[in-house]
Amino acid sequence: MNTVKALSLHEMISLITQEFQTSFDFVEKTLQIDEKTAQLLYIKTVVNGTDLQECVIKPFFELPTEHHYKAYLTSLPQQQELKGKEQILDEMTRGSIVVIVQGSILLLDIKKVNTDSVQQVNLEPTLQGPELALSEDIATNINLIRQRYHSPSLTIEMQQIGQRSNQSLAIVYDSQSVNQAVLEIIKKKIESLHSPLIQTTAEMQRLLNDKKRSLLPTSMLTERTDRIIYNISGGKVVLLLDGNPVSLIAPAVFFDFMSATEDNYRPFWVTMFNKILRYLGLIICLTLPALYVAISSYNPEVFRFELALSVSGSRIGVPYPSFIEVLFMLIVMELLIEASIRLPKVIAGTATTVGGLILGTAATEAALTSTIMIIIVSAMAISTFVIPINELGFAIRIIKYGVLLFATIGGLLGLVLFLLGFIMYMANMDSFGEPYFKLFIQRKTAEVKGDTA
Amino acid sequence: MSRYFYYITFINMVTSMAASMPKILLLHREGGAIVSILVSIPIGLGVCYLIGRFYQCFPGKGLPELMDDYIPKFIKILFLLVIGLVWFAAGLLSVIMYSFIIKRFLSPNANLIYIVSLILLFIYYGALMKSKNVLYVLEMIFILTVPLVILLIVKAFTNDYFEMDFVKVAIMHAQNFPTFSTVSAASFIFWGPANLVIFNRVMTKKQSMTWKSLAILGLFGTGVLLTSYFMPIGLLGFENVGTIIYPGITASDTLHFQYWIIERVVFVVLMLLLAITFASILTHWHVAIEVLTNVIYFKKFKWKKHNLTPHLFLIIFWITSLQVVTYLTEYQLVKYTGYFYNLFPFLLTVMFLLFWVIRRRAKA
Repeated sequence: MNTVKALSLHEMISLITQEFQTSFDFVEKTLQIDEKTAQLLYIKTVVNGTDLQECVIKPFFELPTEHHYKAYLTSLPQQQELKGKEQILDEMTRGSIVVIVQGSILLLDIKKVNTDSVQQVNLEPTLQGPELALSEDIATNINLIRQRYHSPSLTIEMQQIGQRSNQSLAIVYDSQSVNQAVLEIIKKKIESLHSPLIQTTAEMQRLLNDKKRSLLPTSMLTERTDRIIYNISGGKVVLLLDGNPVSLIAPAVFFDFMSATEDNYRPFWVTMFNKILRYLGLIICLTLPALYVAISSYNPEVFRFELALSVSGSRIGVPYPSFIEVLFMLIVMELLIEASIRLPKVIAGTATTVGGLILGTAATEAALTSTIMIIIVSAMAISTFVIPINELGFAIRIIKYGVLLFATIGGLLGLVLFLLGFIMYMANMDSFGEPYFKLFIQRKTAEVKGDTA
Repeated sequence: MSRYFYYITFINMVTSMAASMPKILLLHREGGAIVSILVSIPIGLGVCYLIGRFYQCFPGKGLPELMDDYIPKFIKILFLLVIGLVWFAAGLLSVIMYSFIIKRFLSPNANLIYIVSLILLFIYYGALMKSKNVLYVLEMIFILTVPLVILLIVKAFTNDYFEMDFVKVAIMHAQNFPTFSTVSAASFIFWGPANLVIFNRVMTKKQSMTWKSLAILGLFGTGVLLTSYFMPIGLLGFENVGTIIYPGITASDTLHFQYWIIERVVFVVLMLLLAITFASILTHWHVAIEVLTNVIYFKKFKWKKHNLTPHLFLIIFWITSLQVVTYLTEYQLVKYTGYFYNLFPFLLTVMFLLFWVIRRRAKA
């Protein structure tokens, strides 16, 4: 308040008009009737017209004196505290209106938000469970979270990130169950972000990562409110960035990425079966192409006799070693996946049909690959999509080439060594101070704190 | 005890099944092998108990830190150097053993240097990890492999061609007096807790060595010893089992899966063994590196803020392994491993002496 008072009223007005002079949508309006005057300063594209009319302009003409009008305005819930001229300018860009009445400045929040419609879940669909995801407006998102987690210990801290865009960032956690050490690390990291512009949560996720080059995700992006609530109650920290329908959950360890929200909604054995299926998918996706190379090129005797024969039988006519065959098919498949992500829905169908033809019988008939290879590639492609969180799926897609490389140069030995190396790599990682690949067996309640799905 | 204590111990036990221990015992099958096994169990458990009891008094402290506090510097440096070298040798023997096995059973055309380099490439990364993370890796490998190993052992013992008669013949030699080398070979499987030299640093919670932990260790150890001795005898016959270089693996090659995609059990065994041996090499060399850098550390040997001393040691380890693997024969390997086993009782005696001094001074 002091800084604003120190700055005279006149200076403030001229400062504001100067700053926004060039904007076409800046409005400076004086209301006057009889003895009463008031001055309004606002940016018309970000304020809500109805609110402006109902809450600010109309009462001016209805109330008898300026004194009454000022009392009315100060009692409005939209009224904001004044902290300085920078803040006033900043709030005006967000949709606040400056009212000058009786020689004092009042700041009212009447912003118009066009992004607050709550969207359908489309990245992590489930059969049962909430169908609505987040919106692109931070206030609506906080509302969604509050409406699902009624506890006074739910804490929301607002910050701004991005030196130029000054976006709002909410740090949401349950102050009773949160892992304090992790919270400290996250806050420290957010403070050290010096990027001028942070547009998406995913970008923020990348910037929060210590390492310049990373492969596996150490924090999780989600659009599902039930996942957010589940993680908050488990003691994790959720970050919401304004303008993004995705939230960031930290810390996240490997096993979090292998769990779906539905795991909690289903009977025990169904969940168990699904989990086993997912890990099986993970293993198939990582090892199947590499196993094909290692076994057919190095140790065909590993297979039972009949199978070894039929594998080498199907390779008759294929003019190059097995690793080229695998690599060829894998790359065609990756192209197909990549293409169908980017393409508009109308054309995507064509791409998959054409790709299906290439990957299908035509490649075998042209003796470019063996029939068994086709089965392997499709089994692998399907099992990649079993991994419930895409970020891990993408990483696994890349790691599979490492397994393939080592199977090519070292056979079964190389394959198993690379998998062991992968285990070591993950065990050596940490997510905001929490071990990334640690099993929680003993003293589960104590160890699991801050680490549930 | 913390579950990681068991992982360290069990991994050491299972690795020994494929190392020279069964071979040495089987060479003495008409001598005192069975008595050695029986004698080594109480000895081994006693050692486990003493080591566990000692470290539980100092949670979160490794031996180097304890020696800093209570032991003259000269003795500390000498002893740690010996420990570092012995642990390096332990890892080295496993590397070479497994490379020989790979060459003999999986890829006879491969170059030994190539195989060793491939394994060491990954060990290089692993040995530089934090001690805590090494334990996570051990846990993961243990959980993924040991249940399968147990299943395969059950399969071996329930096999139709497992002849109890051979086992009975072997038991007939139970009255013979054991030799020093067979006892030290058999009791080597219990020396896993010695890795706490370093790993006790990360066991910060109060541990307690109870009769329950001893029972678990004893049960597992007995199983390992009996399996590695009687399984080859039952499957391969008593008469000539001593002439086989890798009794355990050759015995597993007599088994087959009737309905599986893979027919010969030996390939599954080889892969499981790779993971377990890898874990063992990883622990040994991690301890070796940590101990050696504690004694010899070049502060100025840096590159972009990374101190390169551990890398230096690892490169020396690597080069030594490549030298040794080309020089050794399989026969020599068994012989030297035998010497290595014989060395351990003396080393442990010195270690217990140090434990005794440290505990006395810590109490005072």
